[in-house]
Amino acid sequence: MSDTLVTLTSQEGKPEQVPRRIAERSTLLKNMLEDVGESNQPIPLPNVSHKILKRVLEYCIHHKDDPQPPSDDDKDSFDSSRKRSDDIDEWDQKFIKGKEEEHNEELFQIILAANYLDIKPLLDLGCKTVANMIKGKSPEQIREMFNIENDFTPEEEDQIRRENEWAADA
Amino acid sequence: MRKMEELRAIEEQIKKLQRKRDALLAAPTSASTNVLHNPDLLSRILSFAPIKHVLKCERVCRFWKNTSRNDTSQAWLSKLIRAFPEGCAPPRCGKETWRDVVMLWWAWTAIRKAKTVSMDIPELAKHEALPPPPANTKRQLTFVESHPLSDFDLKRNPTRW
Repeated sequence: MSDTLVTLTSQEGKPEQVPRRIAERSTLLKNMLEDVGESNQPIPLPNVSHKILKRVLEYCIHHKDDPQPPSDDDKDSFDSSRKRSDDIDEWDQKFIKGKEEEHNEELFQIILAANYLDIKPLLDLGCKTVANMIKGKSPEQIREMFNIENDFTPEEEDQIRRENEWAADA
Repeated sequence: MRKMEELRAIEEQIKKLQRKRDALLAAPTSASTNVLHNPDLLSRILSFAPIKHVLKCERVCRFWKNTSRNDTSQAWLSKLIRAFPEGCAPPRCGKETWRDVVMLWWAWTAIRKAKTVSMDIPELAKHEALPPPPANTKRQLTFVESHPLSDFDLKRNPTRW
């Protein structure tokens, strides 16, 4: 049953056929396929563009043999060493880097797609990459990098700086 | 003459703000905006960053500050326990937000520092010069037990220390 092909339709309506085993790396698709059972109907993914869908599938194909990660709700399986941002393997680093000129926008689109399709390892990979981008940057640099508007008054910003001063000596 | 100049400057500012508003309205919502203004996704991103960077991130914008301060995820508590292994992880911390734990840690550190500083204050130094009680640990306990702030105060207003 795992070798059957599943058709996924992207935002643009373009179909993409993948083995069921690959599609099931996504918890959303896994649950849908289990609910629907044997069916040749294409699965529409209106929130994912074709380009990003292909990138996501590229990731799923590479990681097809990885064990399924524990869910976030599973408190017993919580491992404190999990929340590190420097444990990205080489292939994942190259994958998430993508094309330099459209790196940021594509990275965020992959995060959104991974969140929508519920592919936890890919979501974590995207979040770790953004966390690494933030590291060592000043608030001003972060705003510039991500085009975020500063909606604080100088007094408010100063107040937060004072409240967090303790961390400088921590 | 001065009034005219002021008026011109104000008009110039209004035009600048109008241009900014038009640009904001015209710009499509980018994926980065959708990610960085989604509390769940932002919390997840921040959970991978070292705590010092996260505190810096609180100065990026209001949304980031609120998201960071309201985060009650288990990951945050775990990160704090690892960051401050001494005195910051009471067993009951699971029910508190990470910030409460940070505040508590901050207060305890301030108490420890206050004890060191007190040696430099002449009146307190006089007191310190008195023969020490037999067990030093007992003095420390007395100090902590008799401090005037409750746990609630320590958490809500740690700057008093």
